[in-house]
Amino acid sequence: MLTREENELLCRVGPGTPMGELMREYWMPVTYDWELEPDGQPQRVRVLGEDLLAWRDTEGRPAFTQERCPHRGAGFFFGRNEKGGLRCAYHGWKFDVNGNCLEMPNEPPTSNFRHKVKITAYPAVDFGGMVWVYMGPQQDNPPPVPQFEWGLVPEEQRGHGHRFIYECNWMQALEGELDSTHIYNLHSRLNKDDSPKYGLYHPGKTANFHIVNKDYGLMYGAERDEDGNKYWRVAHFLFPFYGMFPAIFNGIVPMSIFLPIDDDNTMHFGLHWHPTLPLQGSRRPDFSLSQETGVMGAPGPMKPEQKGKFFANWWPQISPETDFHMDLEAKKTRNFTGIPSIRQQDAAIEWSMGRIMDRTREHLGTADAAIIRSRRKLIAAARAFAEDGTPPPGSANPEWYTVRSCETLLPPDDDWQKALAPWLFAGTTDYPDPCNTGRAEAARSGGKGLGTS
Amino acid sequence: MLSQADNDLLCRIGPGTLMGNFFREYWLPALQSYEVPEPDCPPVRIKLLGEELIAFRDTTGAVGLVDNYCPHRRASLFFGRNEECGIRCVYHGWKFDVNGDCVDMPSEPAESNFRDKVKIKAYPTHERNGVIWAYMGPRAVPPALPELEGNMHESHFITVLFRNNNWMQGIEGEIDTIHASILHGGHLRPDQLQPGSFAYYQSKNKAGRFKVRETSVGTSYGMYRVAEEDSYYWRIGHYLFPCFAMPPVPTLGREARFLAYVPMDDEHTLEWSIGVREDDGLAVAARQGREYHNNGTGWYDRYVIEQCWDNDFEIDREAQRTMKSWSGITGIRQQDMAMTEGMGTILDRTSEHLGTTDQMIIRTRRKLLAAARALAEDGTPPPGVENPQDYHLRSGQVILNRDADWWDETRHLIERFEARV
Repeated sequence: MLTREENELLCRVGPGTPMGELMREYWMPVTYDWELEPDGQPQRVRVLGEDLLAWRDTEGRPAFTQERCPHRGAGFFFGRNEKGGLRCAYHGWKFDVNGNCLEMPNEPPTSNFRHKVKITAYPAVDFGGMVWVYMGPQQDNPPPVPQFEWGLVPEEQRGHGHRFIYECNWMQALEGELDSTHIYNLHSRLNKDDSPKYGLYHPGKTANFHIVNKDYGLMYGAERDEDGNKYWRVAHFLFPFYGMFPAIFNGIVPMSIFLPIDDDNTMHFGLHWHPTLPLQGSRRPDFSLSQETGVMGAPGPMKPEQKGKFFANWWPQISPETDFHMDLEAKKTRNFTGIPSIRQQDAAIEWSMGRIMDRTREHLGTADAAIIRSRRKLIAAARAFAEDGTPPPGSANPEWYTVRSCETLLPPDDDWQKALAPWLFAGTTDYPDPCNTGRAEAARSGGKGLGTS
Repeated sequence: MLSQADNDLLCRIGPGTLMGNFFREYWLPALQSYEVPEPDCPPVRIKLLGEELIAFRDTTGAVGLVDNYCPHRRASLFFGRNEECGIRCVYHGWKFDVNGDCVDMPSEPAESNFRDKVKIKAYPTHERNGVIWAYMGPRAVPPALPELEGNMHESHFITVLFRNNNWMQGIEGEIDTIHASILHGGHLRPDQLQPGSFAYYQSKNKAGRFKVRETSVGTSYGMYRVAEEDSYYWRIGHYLFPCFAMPPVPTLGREARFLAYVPMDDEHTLEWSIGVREDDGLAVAARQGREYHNNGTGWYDRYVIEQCWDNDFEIDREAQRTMKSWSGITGIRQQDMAMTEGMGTILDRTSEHLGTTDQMIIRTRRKLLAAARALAEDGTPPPGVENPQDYHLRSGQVILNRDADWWDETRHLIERFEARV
């Protein structure tokens, strides 16, 4: 439970808020790189409550610039992206990716007004298939981009599985990611012996949680008994809005990003990578919608382009207006919620808490320890930064972000941290599998020999 | 650039605001005659200066403009019965005439004199050549209608357009004449145009210089560019209190035409264009591609067109890229709408950067603010209210010798007036 003040501090990210200022110290991924073509259509985006246009100039340099022209306030969206700059359609003022005014055709040629006008243009960079923005105070000298392994491996070892807008605050979306015990409840099938396509299954609906403070945030291990051994699921929270839930048997590591669009909306990106092997997947998300409720899969198609809105192409059809396509027959016979796809099950729950969840009225138990701890860390870091400028965790340490998650079986007496550290911190590409379950071999061979579950 | 306080003062026109009081001194176009086509026809919802009103035409043909809310229990008169010289609330049958007097109160006992004590808010109207004007001000005897010639001939055209932003953004777009060569004509090259034409000089020279002068009813500008060695190409236009404008569309002096940016409320505007001739090429071009929805009955359901914010004004990026069209948006007005709506419903004038070509905008704002303050502070009659003939102006384009004084030289064209008063 939080006080109202703490909840406000935790959730609100607009300019001038403590959490908003904290987030502005980090590079943030905003769009896929392929969405911005050189001289292509500028895209409306909103990040931390600021409306921006994302575009790419003739040379391919990405840009995040202010939405409205500084002259008379017309929207640049209707402007012309041409020959090294974005030009307002109204009077033809043209700006480059650094915010300099290149031309001012309506002013007399003798005028030097154009040297006096600049627009906000945040540093932008391509990394890992995404275009990143830095909105913080060190505009001329931003810190390095966090060195996630998925940005360091060759492109074909990375997949961008899904992406869509949650119409709720970023923190409740992130908390869903850190909430390990919902996995075998919310996402479960009803009958153990049914096909895995109807949902996940584990008899241990709860687990023992081991939470470890880390420089970049925290790591937790969820421990369950399994056939005399211990089944471990190890995940991370990384500042300020990343979750890495456990990797799967074949060495693919998933990553979830919850970029705050504003206080009420969140852009969720899901991606995954393999440390050594090329993947089948695509750079573009999968929009196909499984016909079978409860199947692990994509969140389904997006609505048609929502013109006039930010992130116009990323509003999902499965949404509150359709009760998330909840199928009552499936709910009765085979799947816990009757809502198709894991991600939409999460979204339905997180959306249902309201735009900004009221944390003065919750009741957290022992299984919520990772949530409690990550909130505390976020609040403490935002306060420390506001009070004495303590650098936010990881903002100046890009190398801390080269981590992985995992799930595996360990002998009952093994120290999980010691046993798993080489894999978790990218010291080896061998998947940990001391009980010889076949995981290591599957990871080496791209999943051959094991079924999905 | 304005302070936040001045921006609010300039834009907000609801009851009791300083600019709202200023506007209420003037007659304003409220609806077209055809919207209440015949006696006892269905009433129409009208939003004007932030007030919710009902317009109806009574049995004698007089037009009433009354409060939406019945004074009894606040039911909407939109559902009322328009019959026998009055509009009757369907709830309890209270009936009001065009002057706001209660003429029947069937729910009260016959001996009650309650009906003599109740009035409904009713504004004077005046119908002139297809336009129903409203006066919402404090004077017991309203002033005369402004002598805007475009509405003073029997034969004329009227187009109305719903704009989804504050009225002042509309006015400023109208007097921001230099954008015509860019937003509307950026794709035109001189070699595609008739040498010596206005469009030719405009495309040759995107930049321009401004002269601004004050008139007894507002502000006027002449924007000039080089034409030939000894001449300038001039665009001459006017702003007239409180929300009228005359853009330089025709050849100067050739036609009488004006625009009105009538505030429905702080965030919605009806743009009226009223003129004598309909065959002017540019006036026709300005209406290009407008596909009007049928007028509905909601507050914001009148004069709405298909191209709008929610479809990006149907921008065609391919046409934009290939320079078939500068903006890729069809229609001059729709291009303007994309600009003014892109500013947000009320433009934040604390963060703009105005240059030398924005003088007309700057001066006009100052005049408006000063006149509204003068009315509030010592009751100075708003300019033009008592001088309706001062609205006798025309706008347009003209070529002048370089040494000519733009105002003196063209005054006979600007002040040409051919209507009968």
